[in-house]
Amino acid sequence: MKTLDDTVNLLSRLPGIGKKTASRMAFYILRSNYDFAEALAESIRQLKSVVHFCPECGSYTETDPCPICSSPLRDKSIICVVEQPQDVLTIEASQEFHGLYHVLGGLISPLDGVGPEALTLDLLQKRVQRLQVKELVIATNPTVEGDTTALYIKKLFAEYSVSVTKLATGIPFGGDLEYADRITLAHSFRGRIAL
Amino acid sequence: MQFVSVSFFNFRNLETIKDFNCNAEKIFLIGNNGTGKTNFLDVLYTICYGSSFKASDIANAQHGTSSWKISAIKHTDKLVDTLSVSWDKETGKQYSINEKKVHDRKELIEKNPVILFSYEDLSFVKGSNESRRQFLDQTASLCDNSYIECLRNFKKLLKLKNFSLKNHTLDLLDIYTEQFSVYAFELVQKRRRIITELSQIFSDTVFKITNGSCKLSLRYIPSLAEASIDDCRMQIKKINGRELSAGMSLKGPHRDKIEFIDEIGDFSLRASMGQLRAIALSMRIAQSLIFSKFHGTNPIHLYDDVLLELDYEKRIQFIQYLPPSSQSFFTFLPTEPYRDYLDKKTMIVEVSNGRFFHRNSI
Ligand SMILES: [Zn+2]
Repeated sequence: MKTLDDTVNLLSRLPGIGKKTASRMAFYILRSNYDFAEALAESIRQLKSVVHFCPECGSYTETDPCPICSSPLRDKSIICVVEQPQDVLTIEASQEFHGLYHVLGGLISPLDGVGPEALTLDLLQKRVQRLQVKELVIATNPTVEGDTTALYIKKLFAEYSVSVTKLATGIPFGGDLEYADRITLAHSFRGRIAL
Repeated sequence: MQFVSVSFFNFRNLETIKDFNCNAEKIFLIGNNGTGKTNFLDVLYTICYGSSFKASDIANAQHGTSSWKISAIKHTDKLVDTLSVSWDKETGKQYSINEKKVHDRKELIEKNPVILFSYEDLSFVKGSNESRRQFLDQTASLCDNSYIECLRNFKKLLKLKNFSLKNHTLDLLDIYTEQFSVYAFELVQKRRRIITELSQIFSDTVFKITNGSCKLSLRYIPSLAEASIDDCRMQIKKINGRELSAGMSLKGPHRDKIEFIDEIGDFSLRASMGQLRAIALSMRIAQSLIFSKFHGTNPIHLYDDVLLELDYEKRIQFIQYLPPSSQSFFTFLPTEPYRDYLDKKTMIVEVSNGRFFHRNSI
């Protein structure tokens, strides 16, 4: 059946979903009532049309700017620099950080064709000047590319009156921020070190 | 640890077989050249480390097929594990232990130690510095579980730094030099430590094997021998201009040298063929002994035609000095006097046309 096959093929492109799981999902949708299918389709459409990058920090948002950037309660003198939007959610869940975020949208990796100009670094420079930021906390993953990016940012802001720090280790090398538990993250934030 | 049975499907010239019994301390595989003896050893090697010592994943597939699978049941103390490696043209290679996928080959090396003694071993004695470094890296990985990670990061940074040197991206070159120095320094420290241990064992072994005629030790000559990370960085910055015009890194662990020396100097330049062979065997023996020393358990040994090259007297001597293993597999030609090396624990397997038959021992 072409329609069913199309759905299965599309679903199996989602991360962690194989052909088997995808067809189970498709059959579930077929069995369920029409309202569910409609709601699912509509919520996926909304996700793409409503959620977008915050023009300030580069994180996902539904409002301009995002709730964190527009909150009067956040400390605007400190910015935590992360690789991708998911990292913001991870750090927010730890409730250890009360400043602003900046999403780079990647890490420097010339062999994959990603140079410094591909990241949102010019935006970061403008924010640091405008908000008179005192500290940048680099929270890139402890990998070769993460370290390269951290060192590059340190060099980029050498002439600015902003101190550049990074999360204390605790996240194992080669590890992933996403999988660091809350306590590890809390320790990392409290014991940040100058780069 | 000991393999109790092996299975293979579509693997090179080997006839598909399920649960072939190999539950013995010593297994002699007897057959003519090209019958599948070495392929049998390679099955075990691939199961232990995830990659073949002979061929690429695609070349392992039997003619006209696009997938292969090999597996083995292994006993370690009271634990029973099923190890398997499979490859498919579409999905690539998969490694699993007890049906659970293994993501990083790094996890295998310590769990499934195997030492291969082969004719090709001559290459790291006679051959390039690169093959000597490979031997050293292999030995260090067997003993120090943080070595592979350090080596991987170093190799990545070497690539990145070379890319910067070639493309003259100077802002990044500075950063890569800084990161390069960190791993280069750590790698040299680790290599130095392992060579010190290895040299001792190697000296004793080569002395015994050659009846006291070779008094040798190992000399490590690191290309960056500085005393700290900062000194390494300074040293590299000094040759920055030369590296930029060469378009590649001229100093670092990728240029390290290892020599077999006596009181005069590099011995491998003056050694006879027989002496070169003795050095190669001694290095493998040392590799096995150093593993046993670090882990308190013995690895599995695979001997691929190693006795063939030695004269009768040397063979007996070699067999006497074999390091302890938890299980050993030997390949022999039918014309070799393999019966002279049998004991009660030996299982004899005849190999012909990719098929295997048990024969009563003695
Ligand atoms: Zn924002």
